[in-house]
Amino acid sequence: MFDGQPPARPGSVRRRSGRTASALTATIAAALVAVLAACGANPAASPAQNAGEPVSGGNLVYLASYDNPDFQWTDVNDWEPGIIFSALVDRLVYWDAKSSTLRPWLAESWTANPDSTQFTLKIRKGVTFSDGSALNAQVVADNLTIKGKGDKALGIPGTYTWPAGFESATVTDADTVAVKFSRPAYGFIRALTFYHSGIVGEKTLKLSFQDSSDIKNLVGSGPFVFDSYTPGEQYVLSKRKDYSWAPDGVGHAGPAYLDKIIVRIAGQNSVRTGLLQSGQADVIRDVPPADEQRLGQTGFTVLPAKQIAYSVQIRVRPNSAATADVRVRQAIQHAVNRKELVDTLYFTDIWKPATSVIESGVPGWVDLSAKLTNDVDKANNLLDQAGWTARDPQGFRTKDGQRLSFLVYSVSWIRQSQPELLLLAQQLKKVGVELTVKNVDSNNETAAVGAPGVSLSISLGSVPTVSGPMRNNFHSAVTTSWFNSGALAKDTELDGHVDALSNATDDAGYTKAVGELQNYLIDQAYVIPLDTNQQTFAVAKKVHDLNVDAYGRLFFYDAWLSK
Amino acid sequence: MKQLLRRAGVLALVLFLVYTLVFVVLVVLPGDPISNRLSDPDAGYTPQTVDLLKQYYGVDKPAALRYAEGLLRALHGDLGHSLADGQPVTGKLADAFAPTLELGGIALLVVLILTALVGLGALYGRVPALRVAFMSVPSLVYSLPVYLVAVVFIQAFSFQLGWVSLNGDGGFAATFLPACVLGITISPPLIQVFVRSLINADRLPHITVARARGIPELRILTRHLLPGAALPSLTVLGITIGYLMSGAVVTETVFTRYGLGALTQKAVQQHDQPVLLGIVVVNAAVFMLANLLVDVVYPRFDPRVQPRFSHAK
Repeated sequence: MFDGQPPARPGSVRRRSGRTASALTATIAAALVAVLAACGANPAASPAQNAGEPVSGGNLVYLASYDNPDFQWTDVNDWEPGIIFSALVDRLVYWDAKSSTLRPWLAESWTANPDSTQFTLKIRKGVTFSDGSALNAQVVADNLTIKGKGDKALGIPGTYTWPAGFESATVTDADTVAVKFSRPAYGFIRALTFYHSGIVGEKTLKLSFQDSSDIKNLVGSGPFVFDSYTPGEQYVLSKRKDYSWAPDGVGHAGPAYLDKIIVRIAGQNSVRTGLLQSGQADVIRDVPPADEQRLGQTGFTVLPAKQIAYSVQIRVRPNSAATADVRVRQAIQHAVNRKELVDTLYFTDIWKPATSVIESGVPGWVDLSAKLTNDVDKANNLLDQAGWTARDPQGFRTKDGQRLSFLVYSVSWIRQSQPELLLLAQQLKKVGVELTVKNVDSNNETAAVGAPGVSLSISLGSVPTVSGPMRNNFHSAVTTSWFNSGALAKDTELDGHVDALSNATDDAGYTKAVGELQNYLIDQAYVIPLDTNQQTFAVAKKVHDLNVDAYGRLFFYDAWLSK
Repeated sequence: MKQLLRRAGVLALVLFLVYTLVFVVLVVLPGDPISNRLSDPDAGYTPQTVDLLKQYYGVDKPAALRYAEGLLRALHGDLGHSLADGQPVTGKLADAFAPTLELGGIALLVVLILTALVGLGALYGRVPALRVAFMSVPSLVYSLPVYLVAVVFIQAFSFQLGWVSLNGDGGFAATFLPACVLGITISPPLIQVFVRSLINADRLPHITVARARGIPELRILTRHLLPGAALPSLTVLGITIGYLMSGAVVTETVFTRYGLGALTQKAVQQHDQPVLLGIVVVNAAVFMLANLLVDVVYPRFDPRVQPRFSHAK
């Protein structure tokens, strides 16, 4: 019953922003910091990466922007718990983002049958969990079974980032697991690299949804182990001294360098920046765009973390006469000035206009910048052709007395979503389209964005494998999706592209299908990409070799502190 | 003793009404974390999963039944589980209460010290201008928002001067700094009332007579002025303890401290009904206990009050 589709629900990257900070506080604090920093800031220095030989020891203080103590191992989907979870729990396969290759981790090797419905995983020997129990084929099979199907008795839903059609995971010998799908699941091995697919010990597997959400009960084989948790204040993770199964392609082997990672919760943007600048913290997440440049100029390393995800985008669903007309959608596509968006709202060049439906790190990505041009004349022509020729006194286009107007909600989990949408509204106004931007509190977001009168939504989301999320988000068979709810007509061509992707069984077929689907979504303007989907961390000078993994989560294993 | 029991009964009744009222409000307000998670059309939950999770959390039951069950459990000291992270509400409240008690206790001391200082300054200031300056302190401070004071204090004492470390190893100073912020920002009403009462008492004829008779000023202050001024101040002090709770929300959030304030902020944000219900009930209880305490202490300062207390119907 749980083998539903694996979509990228927006929650997977929820809370890009620290929205608790009031704008006023931030402004006052920023002004104060600017004034005060002028007195005592250290002179600009070059980024402090790769300085000499790594040394062991020391505690790293990382400031999280909120506390969400939900560490449920099939479901952990939030930024901060995701970062902690990644340090505690290893995965079967490691995605080396630098060389874009998949490398062995807890799985020594793997094979797939020609139609990508059966996979064999050879499990690494000599690995132990933090409770002393050994990693073996049985525990891996048990992990995969619950992730694939969920567990009704324990109240655990299956993981949603896998390809559809999971059937079984069985032990074939002491260190081999066979996995079966009812349909091609080409992206399965890649899905194993996402932290949702982390492998936990038998002890955690037996716990209910609620009990397994507790970090105290999380047994993993990662380079760090859970030490203590003070609710709302801090997590302490300690080095695992006998760790010796790091994947190839990372900086070193053996135990991690850091003795401890102290994760402190600091919800206010200005407080995180201040603590970093005053040396009370080593790494912060969720750096406000306005602070990026200043921190970069005062000796801190600004670490951008690109996502394996959809770009930040507007989705248009064909549930109204206006949005069911491809010309109207295309007009919006060309009315958007992505460069202006990025130049106005961001101050460093790590933010860029989006190039496609998905980010460049996602396998199969194609650069469609050439199609995403700002062309006001073209947009006007398209709208004229669509019959929106009359204008009302405010200058907006009308047809049969109806104004060409759309409602869109800014959402709490996309940083800058409100300023971005407001600027977008100005750009659309130039071609006579009204865009009303409204706020909604986070508990009513889903209902508000899903209401029948809404045709546009701002979105993003992690996509460890593209096939599952694309199917869930766009295929007409998934009638409950936001895109398909209330759709005036079924787009069979779109379905065809999504099916081709789901049915891909090899690299070439998969890449081709992803490319065609991206092109189609852009040509039909179901997706209006805006800008890059990423995170920014700021790192103190004494921290070296701290990087992010393929999913933008901090990879503490290689990090070390200079004395 | 009988009066005290009666007051305890009233307290229980008010708590019951608070529980009921808050429950109704939370039921009427749309949205909760579970429904929000489940109703996300792109989350891929099958209808069966939705039913399962709803049953698991009991959100599928009618409101009246949930109310009755919740109340019954609450009588046994069980406030249910958080919808956001599944932890027991009583445990969460207990975890949050201790640090807030510490913060609030020190903040209250700060309030008392400030009140005494400003009061005496306004009474004994050498020049009239100084006395006026002290008297205008409350209205000046009253207009400062907590978060502004908090951010300025953090910037000055932690980030720039480096006196207070806020990364978890700051010790007493890490509590004292937010306690000062909290104390300073909630003190104005109390200071105002105390200063007024002190100056009013100072103008009474028997004080003039006492001074004329050459009674030492310290004796006048401790025997005549303070007891007179303490009475109205005591009432305001009870209310100030209530302010501690609301002030803690902002202070704890800005200073990245955990406590009831931080828990409230998060529960409101997440619409975590059981936790919110627990917080409101605990806050109401603290507020009422503080005022009960004031009422009990009152007669010690002014025997005239005694009859009023025992005449309570």
